[in-house]
Amino acid sequence: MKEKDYFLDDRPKKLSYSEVWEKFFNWARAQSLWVIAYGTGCGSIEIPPMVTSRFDAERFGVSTVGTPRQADVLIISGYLAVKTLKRVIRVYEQMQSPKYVVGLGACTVNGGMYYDSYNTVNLVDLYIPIDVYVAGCMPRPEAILAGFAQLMKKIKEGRADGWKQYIDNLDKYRKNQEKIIKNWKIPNYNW
Amino acid sequence: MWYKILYAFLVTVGGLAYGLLLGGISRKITARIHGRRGPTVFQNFIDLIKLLRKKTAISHGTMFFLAPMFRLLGGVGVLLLVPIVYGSSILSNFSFGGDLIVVLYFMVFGCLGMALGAADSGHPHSALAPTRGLAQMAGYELPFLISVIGLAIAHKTVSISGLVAAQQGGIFHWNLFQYPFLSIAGLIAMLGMYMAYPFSVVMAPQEIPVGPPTEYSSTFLSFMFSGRSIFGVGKYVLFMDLFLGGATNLVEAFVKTFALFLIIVFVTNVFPRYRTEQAVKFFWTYPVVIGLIDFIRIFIK
Amino acid sequence: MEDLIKRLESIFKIVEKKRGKRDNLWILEVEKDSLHAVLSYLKDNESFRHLALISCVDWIENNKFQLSYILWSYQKRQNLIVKIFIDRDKPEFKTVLNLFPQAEIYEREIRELYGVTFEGNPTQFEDFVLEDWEEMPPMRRDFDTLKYSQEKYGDRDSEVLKTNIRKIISDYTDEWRRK
Repeated sequence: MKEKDYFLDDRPKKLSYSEVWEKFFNWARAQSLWVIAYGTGCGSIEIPPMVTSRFDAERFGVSTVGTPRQADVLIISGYLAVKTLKRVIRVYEQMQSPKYVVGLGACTVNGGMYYDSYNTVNLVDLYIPIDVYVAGCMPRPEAILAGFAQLMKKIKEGRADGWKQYIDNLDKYRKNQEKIIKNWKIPNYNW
Repeated sequence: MWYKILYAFLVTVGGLAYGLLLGGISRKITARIHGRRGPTVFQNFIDLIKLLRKKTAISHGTMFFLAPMFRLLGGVGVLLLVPIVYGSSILSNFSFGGDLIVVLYFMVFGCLGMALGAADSGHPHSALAPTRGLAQMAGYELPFLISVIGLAIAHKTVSISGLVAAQQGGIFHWNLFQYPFLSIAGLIAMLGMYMAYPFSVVMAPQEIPVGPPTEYSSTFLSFMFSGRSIFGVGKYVLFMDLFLGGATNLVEAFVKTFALFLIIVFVTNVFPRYRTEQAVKFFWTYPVVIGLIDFIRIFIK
Repeated sequence: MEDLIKRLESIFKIVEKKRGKRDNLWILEVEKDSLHAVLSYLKDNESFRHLALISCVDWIENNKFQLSYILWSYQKRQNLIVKIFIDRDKPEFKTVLNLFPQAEIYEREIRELYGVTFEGNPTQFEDFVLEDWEEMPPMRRDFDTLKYSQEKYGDRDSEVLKTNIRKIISDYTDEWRRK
């Protein structure tokens, strides 16, 4: 099998359903958030306490999966180097819609304490859409759970539409990504 | 005969609901053992609904699409061939003389379809998992076949209804008490079939991300998920018929399958995990030797 | 430890010697050309067989790069830092790969972050931490990280943010004064 067969050449499409069904499915989506186990920075150390006995995120239906294909939520946990950004974009595009992104820590908002670093991306939302920010350096598991509650509320109200924005403004996001990533070797569309 | 089709549909839906509920209860019990609150018992239903309406845009080839169907078919096949309630014309499903052989075939069918699909998905991790899974299957098939064939020889029938009929007439006519060593071998093989914890290296969420379904998402995954639940219920009913004397009404069937389910849950939560070669070694020694005791006893008699 | 330093002084030219913060830590400065001889002597005769780290310091005022070789002896349980200075305008040095194979990675890192090249190290030009870096090596002190970061990664709408924050602070202080 050729390598190309694993990717699609088409642009992603948006499918729409009737509102009543969407409301029901949004309710189900909010109750069952599968987080991909991928840590970009120091914040990923706060995820294990969140999903284990002490803070027990599973009672809200939040559980972890090991593959982007099945995941709903990508957590950008802390600072993001350019090297990591390539992987993050790739993971995000491999996730299946609807998908949500949680930005964890001050670094994802405006660079945080690495605002003047030569290697830390300051504004993550230029490159991928972010639905919920959790501020702090680092946010404690309680704060992350509060962030998840916020995300659930947004999903139930139908306002968590970052993935739709990504599809609509794909060219804009691509331009931003290509501006800082030299040597772009990944296929144009890889979902 | 048309009403049989309607009842087959109802049994499938009921089996799915029961399987999902058992999965939820299992998650809840695990959580309570960890000292957590855990998800609601209906969490699996919610996951399934969510997965049904996730979009998918991946194509990997024909086998990739067919594998979830195989999985579902294997599950539904087992559930519909095993008589749930003995003597009932409806809930005996499609059982016939010689259905034991067909059920044994269907139990391997799902796993093989899964292996083919996982190999077709092109992901190195999902190709790694079937090698482990098939090795482990070769492990537990031996004690399982010893116990099933032993029972068939002892009761001189290859029909599950015949086996159930031979066990009627009081608790001590059950195969669990008539042939205790065969039953122990069969129940240890059951742990391997459910990938319960000492033998859970196939899914191994820590080492190989999620095992065979690494590349599967959305609707495919929901098919696999429901196929797994239905297959689970079918196997509970099969083991109930083989060792626990079947059931004469639905309540008895629920109680007995739930008891088998509790065995799995409590074994899963207290054991660490075997590696593949350790699991195969275990299956080929202790349960086989235990099963052969009764096997020889049947021949001497 | 003093005996060791005396023995070294009798053989090599030690430019500067200094005791570190512990009794078993000394810092020696040697001449650039005799570094290989010193390291080889320490490794073979004085049991300093472990090269813990090579680090680099940018002395932009003196127009020099300092390379420090941190050694550890398992038998004597002693640390020794051997440092040399090389010219900042001509950042080149010879590799110590023949003495310590683990130097390969350290030298690759220093090449990437400071631009010091090590003659004889085959893998030094491969990427280590940074991918596709085209600017000046980033750990040099004349590299303006803030300017680079703002140009490349942008900044949150700072004017809007600052005025908003000032307004929030003044509102808060006004309210506090009124109480």
